[in-house]
Amino acid sequence: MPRRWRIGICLIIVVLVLTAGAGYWWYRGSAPQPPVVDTSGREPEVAAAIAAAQAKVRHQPRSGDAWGRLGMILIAHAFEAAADECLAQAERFAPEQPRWPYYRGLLKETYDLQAALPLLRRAAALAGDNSAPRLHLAELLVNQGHWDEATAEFQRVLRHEPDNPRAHLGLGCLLYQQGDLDSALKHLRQTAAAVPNLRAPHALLAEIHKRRNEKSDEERELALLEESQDLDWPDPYTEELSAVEVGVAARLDRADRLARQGRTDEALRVLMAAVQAAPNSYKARVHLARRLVQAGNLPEAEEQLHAARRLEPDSFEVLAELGVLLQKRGAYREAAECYQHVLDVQPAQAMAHFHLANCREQLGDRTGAIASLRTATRCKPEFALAHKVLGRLLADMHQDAEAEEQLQYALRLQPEDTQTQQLLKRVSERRSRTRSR
Amino acid sequence: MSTSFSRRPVPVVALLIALTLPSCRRADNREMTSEPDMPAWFEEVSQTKGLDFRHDAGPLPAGRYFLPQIIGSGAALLDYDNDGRLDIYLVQNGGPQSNSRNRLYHQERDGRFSDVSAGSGLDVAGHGMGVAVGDVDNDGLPDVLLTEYGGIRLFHNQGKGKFTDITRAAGLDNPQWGTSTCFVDYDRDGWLDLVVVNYVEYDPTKVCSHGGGAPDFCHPRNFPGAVTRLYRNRGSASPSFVDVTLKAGLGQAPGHGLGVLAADFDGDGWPDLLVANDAQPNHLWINQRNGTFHEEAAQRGLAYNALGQPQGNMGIACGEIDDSGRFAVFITHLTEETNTLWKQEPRGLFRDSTAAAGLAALHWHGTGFGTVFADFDNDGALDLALVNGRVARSPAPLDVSAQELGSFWRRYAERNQLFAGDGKGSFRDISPQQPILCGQAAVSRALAVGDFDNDGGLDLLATTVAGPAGLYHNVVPSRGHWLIVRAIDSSRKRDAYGAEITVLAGGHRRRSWINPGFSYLCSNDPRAHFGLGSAEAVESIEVLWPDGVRERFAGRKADQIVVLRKGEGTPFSRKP
Repeated sequence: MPRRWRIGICLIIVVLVLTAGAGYWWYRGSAPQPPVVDTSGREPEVAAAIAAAQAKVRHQPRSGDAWGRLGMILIAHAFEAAADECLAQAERFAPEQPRWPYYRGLLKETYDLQAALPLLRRAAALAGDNSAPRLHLAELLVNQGHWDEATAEFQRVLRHEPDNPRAHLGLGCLLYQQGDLDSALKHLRQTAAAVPNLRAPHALLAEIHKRRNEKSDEERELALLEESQDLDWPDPYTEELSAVEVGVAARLDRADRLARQGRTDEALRVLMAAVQAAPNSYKARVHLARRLVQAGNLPEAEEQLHAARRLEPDSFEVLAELGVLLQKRGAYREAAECYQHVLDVQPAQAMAHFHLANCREQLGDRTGAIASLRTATRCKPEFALAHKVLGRLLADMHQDAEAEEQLQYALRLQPEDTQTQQLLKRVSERRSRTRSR
Repeated sequence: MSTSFSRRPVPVVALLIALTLPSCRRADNREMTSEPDMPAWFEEVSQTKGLDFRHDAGPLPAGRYFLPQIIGSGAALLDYDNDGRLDIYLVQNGGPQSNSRNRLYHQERDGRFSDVSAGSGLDVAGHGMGVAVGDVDNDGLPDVLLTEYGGIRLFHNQGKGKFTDITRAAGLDNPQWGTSTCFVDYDRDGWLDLVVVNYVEYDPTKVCSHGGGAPDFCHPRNFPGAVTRLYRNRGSASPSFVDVTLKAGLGQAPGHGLGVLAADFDGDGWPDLLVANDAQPNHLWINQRNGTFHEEAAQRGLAYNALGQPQGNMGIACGEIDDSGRFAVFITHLTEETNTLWKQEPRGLFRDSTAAAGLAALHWHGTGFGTVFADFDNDGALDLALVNGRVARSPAPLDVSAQELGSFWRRYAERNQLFAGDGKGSFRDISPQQPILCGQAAVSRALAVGDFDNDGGLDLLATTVAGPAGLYHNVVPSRGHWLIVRAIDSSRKRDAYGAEITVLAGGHRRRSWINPGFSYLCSNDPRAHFGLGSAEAVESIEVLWPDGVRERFAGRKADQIVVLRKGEGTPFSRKP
């Protein structure tokens, strides 16, 4: 090969390498950079999680997953503006992923509905078998008065999941709003059957039966309503957000969830780790102490509460827990001191008055106990137990008129309490005997 | 069921709760100038009228955020000296040791307000919340009830601008956190009884945070709720009350109470009580006519929104917004929720009609507090005003219009809203065209309505957290004709709270009520106002007095304030 050719080929190679290098340099240089987030004042664990996710984005600046993960971590720790920015990038690099428009829609719906609706519509369309985004969109549409579109979305879910209770609830609400009570009843009953302790269907069923003058059905639903509560629908995407949350609050939540599932040993371990990671968090110590009490380890629990008290000397949470623990081991004087401390800061704290009364009674100071209970009921007239104990103490001291009144209050608040019924009967009988004498 | 996005008290949720309105504010700013041809309905006159009140919310929070600060303080419109002009009482929240004391302003003949606080007896300091005005001893002079974090105070009007604190002597005691309050004669014995709504059993040592440790005001779910208290007026020349909360059945259901409205919700002629509960179902206490109440909000449709969800219920407005002859109820909610309008259909049963009324699909809404239905342009159709301000800090860019609030409170500031009613139950958002009332972001709380200058145009008074009180003078051009009715029970020498006034004019029957206790933490003009549109006269006025007696009064020319006294009309019975 002639020398000229060789030189030419070399030059071409050099040019190609340089071009490729420049292209790569330009490619890297033009990639979006993660937003700057001010983590000062936040827990180190939170700052570290954010920094790690930012580093991953810098390493893979065109990765939808990396951007999305950073967005999720930012959402979970309340950096909303930066989160939105990251999720927008995530959407750009991974347009097929429903999570990113969904999270953005959830963020935006609180302040810019017009911007939120297209995002949620896109997420619903991308989510496939996961009906949570579609149901969320449909409920938002109900609240916005877009009833036709909402109906279509609920029906679309029911085509794939004919028993979906959330979709039935939504349709039931819409049909009720449109005056079709018979159809509404069917859908709402289906939800109530699937999720018996959910409040919403019982509330609406009670309302419909009232309108139809169906007294016994109305009363049945009202009784069920009393026993039900506001529950949250499963949503895998928002659960993923919870999972990326770090810091003390996240650990406490995790421990609570574990405890609710009966995994108390694991919960205890999580709380111990929380105290270790954040020794200055009085909340972590209070949570740990509660769990230790349940595990029967009272001395360690007390130690944790004393440590918490050193961190937050006036905290009602700490002092109340400590007081209860001290009462448990018969240290009534120290327990009373805890409650008195609470009352110095919060004189209307009915529960502290109540516990103080108990301590005083145990220490033989009945008059003091009665005074504390009177104050407890003054601060919180609906405090049935305080009325009951006050009634009992007054009866013990033969102050029957007031005892009767207090027991009547207690019964008015808790009519099924047989102990109070019997006590009231005894006091009333004694009063009438005294009167007749 | 898993934990949901919208209910968990954790940062993931807090972000939704804590967001502000950066982009909608930008949208608002655009809209503020997009339809400049609509005339202004209000001008802000607090400075020119001498109302120089600035709210003291106490020291800026650090570490622990003191929840009573964000709940705000109220105001009262009252004619304490019976000179025919509304005076103003404004409440402070700086704490008992603060130099900031509640202020009483007297309206002079020229319409200016003079600060007459000093020596009035009303110039007290504390964590002031709500106000109710009512003549508790039927001596012809309105007395004042003040709720505070940790107490209530009853001030007896001695005349000549002097008030005496008679709380203890009157047997009143509420060591809880009182918020809205009102007077109502629930047992129809002719003496005004007292309702005090309580918020939560608060623990000021609790530290709450949103998102990885950033401190903020606690959500009410962190604390147990409290019961609404009812105090029966024993009925004597020296005011005396007895706490009948438990006897009346109100102890059965505690809640996070913020707003209150006493009105006849079931049409039996007896006053019932609606309590707006924050983040919980509302309570509707139906008067059983025997001194007790029964809670019926759920079955009557007022507890939840259309999806059966409880919301962050704050202020309450009430009015006849269409020709149905029944009043509707509007309750304000959080930014991430929807303010809800419930219409009565049929009498005694309510249905969420927010969407149908055009109040759902808005570009944005804020966290609403004080709210009123009022016919500002006197066209015969009630309009709707509400004031906003967040309860959780926003990390988003701040609204430039709230600059004077400083960096802390600006994060909670939002703009107000105004809707024009069409008289058929629908509303149109005219906020962008009303920059005086709606263009300035603030942490607004109470909104009181009344006709300060007795010109037939309803004016507004708004309170804000850590900001000035705003006095908005009605300047709607070419307002319609009007009538203002003061209804007095002569034997009681006071305004007949609870009386229903029906005016026949121009072929329309319009209803209003003598009831100053609504909105949020405030007491309003006790007179009933009617916009009459083009009708130059009213054909007749009917009054359903609180004791059930009906009287008809002769027709008269429009555009005047009339005083109707019980016993001076012609009694009549309602047709079966």
